[in-house]
Amino acid sequence: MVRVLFFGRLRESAGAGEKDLRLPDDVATPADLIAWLGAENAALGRALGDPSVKCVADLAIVSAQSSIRGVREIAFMPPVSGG
Amino acid sequence: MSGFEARIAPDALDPDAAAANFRRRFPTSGGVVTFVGQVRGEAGETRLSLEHYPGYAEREIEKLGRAALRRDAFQAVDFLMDYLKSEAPFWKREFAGGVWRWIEPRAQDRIDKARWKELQPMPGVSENLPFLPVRIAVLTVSDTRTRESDASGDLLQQRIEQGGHTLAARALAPDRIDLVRAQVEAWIADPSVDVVISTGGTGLTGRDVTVEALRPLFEKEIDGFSVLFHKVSFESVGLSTLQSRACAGLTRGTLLILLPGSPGAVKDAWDGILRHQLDSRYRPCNFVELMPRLMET
Repeated sequence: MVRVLFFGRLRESAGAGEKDLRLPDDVATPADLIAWLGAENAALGRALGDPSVKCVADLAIVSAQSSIRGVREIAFMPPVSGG
Repeated sequence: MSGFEARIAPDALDPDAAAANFRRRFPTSGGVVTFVGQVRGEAGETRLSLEHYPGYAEREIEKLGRAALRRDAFQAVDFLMDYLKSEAPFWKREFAGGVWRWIEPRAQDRIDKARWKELQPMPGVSENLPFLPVRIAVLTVSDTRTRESDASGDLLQQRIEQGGHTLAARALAPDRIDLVRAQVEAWIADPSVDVVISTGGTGLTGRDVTVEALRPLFEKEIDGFSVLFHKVSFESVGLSTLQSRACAGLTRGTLLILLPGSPGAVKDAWDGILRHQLDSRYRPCNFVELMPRLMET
């Protein structure tokens, strides 16, 4: 199981701030995950695919093409808007 | 003395108690600078909701804190605020006029952040690149100076040699267009000269003709050299830098640099610009790495 977190406005597109998901074997990268989530929820897929959205895997920023196999927590972050 | 501690709490923080506590922790500090943020807008009508990424936010703020500690207190607070706005994983929602809306990052926040070079690579000499010596000819242009009284020429020669470069030639010419141009054309034609630096004759009087002698030889003028020379020289002599027409250009693969006659101006130009731009290790760009490509067609 992978915990997927959605922050800011992405939480609204996802309908929840976090989801525990069992990913199919062919989901190997954040780009794959976005496509897989988008197949279920097209609006969420579009929101996550925006180039301003950053992906963090186990607390480290990763690119859309890096491997997320074995990762326990994946977060999608829209542009931050300040402390 | 300084310290850094970050706390993100779900309930209200008491900023006065936190500041008092901080002062108690550092009783011998010369001063404490505090910034307290407040929610803007009409009381009771505006609400703010702040969301963060637990675990990740604390780590990012720790990083900012370590960078801030390298500065004095006023700057550290300024730096932290700019970076918190543009880097820390917080998302802000505002309730106003009966609706919640997400606050998007503002362009101004990115501009504020760009003021701080701290977390960006600094321009400068990269020690793991090879140093390539440059062959430099020095021409002193003056009606009155002799080899014995040529302080600016001596200063250039000394800095060229101390900098690990080669003095390819050194000469003295009177303030005459034909003689100055003839000497420099000879050096341009000489493949063992990479750079020509002249000193003198860039002023505004009738006898100042180095620019008239050499600028017509430029195939490409390096306008930025004049700009930077005046910037550096302004720091030393203020508005008086306006009296100089120092400039630089390229001719058939040779770099020509025209400096004023005063030792102070020569020192400013070498120490402030040429020392770096004639160093092959200077990143991100320098003149030396371009030299093999100057004659490309």
